[in-house]
Amino acid sequence: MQDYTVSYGGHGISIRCSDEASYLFTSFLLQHLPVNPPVTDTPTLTIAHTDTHDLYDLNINHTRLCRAPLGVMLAAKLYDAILFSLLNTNTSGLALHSGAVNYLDKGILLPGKSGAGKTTLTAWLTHLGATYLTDELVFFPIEHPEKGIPFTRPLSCKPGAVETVLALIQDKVSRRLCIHDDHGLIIDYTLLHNRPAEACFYPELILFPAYTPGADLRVENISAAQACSLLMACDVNGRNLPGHGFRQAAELSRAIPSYRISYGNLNTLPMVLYKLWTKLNWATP
Amino acid sequence: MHDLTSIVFLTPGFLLEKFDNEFTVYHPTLTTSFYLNASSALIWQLCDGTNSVQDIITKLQQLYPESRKQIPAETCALLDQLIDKDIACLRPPS
Repeated sequence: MQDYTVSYGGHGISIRCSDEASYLFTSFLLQHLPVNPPVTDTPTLTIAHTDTHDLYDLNINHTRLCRAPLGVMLAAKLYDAILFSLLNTNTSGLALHSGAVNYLDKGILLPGKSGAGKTTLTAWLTHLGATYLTDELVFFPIEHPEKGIPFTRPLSCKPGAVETVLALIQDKVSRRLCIHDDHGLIIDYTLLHNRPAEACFYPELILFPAYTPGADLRVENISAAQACSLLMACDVNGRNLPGHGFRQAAELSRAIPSYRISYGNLNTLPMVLYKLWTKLNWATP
Repeated sequence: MHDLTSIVFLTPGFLLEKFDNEFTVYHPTLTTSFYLNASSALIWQLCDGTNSVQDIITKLQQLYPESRKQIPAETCALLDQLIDKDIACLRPPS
């Protein structure tokens, strides 16, 4: 048995692994998050090898969440359980479903619900030289509402996005840095660009991805009121906060310019970003 | 098609943020957010529990006579969206 502990958003959680394989699996998935000393009085997740071939049980407080091999599906369930435990009673900030990168010295927030295209857009931006931060979640502390804390993890691609992301990394695929099966693809961000992630960032641009098969890539400015409504749809833990974090989402929307990026593919993304940076009077390469 | 004499009521408990002449509405219990552009924001403000659907249409047509033909359909379309999201309801006049 080995315990792996992480902290995020001021809360911590332990994952108890029954063997070396599950510990290495967990380490790969959580390697970019701060590691804490063992915590007490918190839910404990366990990954326990079963007697059935290579299947593992993911349990929380002795309740089984799923039984699966050490692959993409178990990873997804593990992330869900970890984030639920870290955020379910978290009142110290607002968590948003969002990707995030630093591109050309500008922090970009990429909010969207599941399936909106956050991971694909994040992967593309990282491939273009952005500093990868997260493809899933950003936490904004109440005492520092302008600062985003990314939940940095390997990029997790659903089956529909696998082909696109594999094309970006081409022959750099390595078993050590990648999990690929019928349920999707998980890759360490260093396969896209070898720049270390940062512990926090200050977003200066919000890009709402909207993946639409076959659509041309288009970026349209949206108002702060529209952005606020869209941010609230990405709110993860708002019910723990006064007004469900509505005021905080509104302040983010007022402070940061917002755009919707609709796309079927991202081949023209560099040109589109160049035009957007020019429009915003930001330095271009 | 709505009964134009119905009075429009908004669901209590919503939160409102104003951005210039646009609004964002959020209802904590329903966990529903809704964006209102400038014209929708005007309609929203008229949904105060005293105006009927026809009252709202008439007042908007007085404000924007150049758009009087489009206003009934646009008003009913917005009310449909608000009702669909349980943000508003219609009640017969008392």
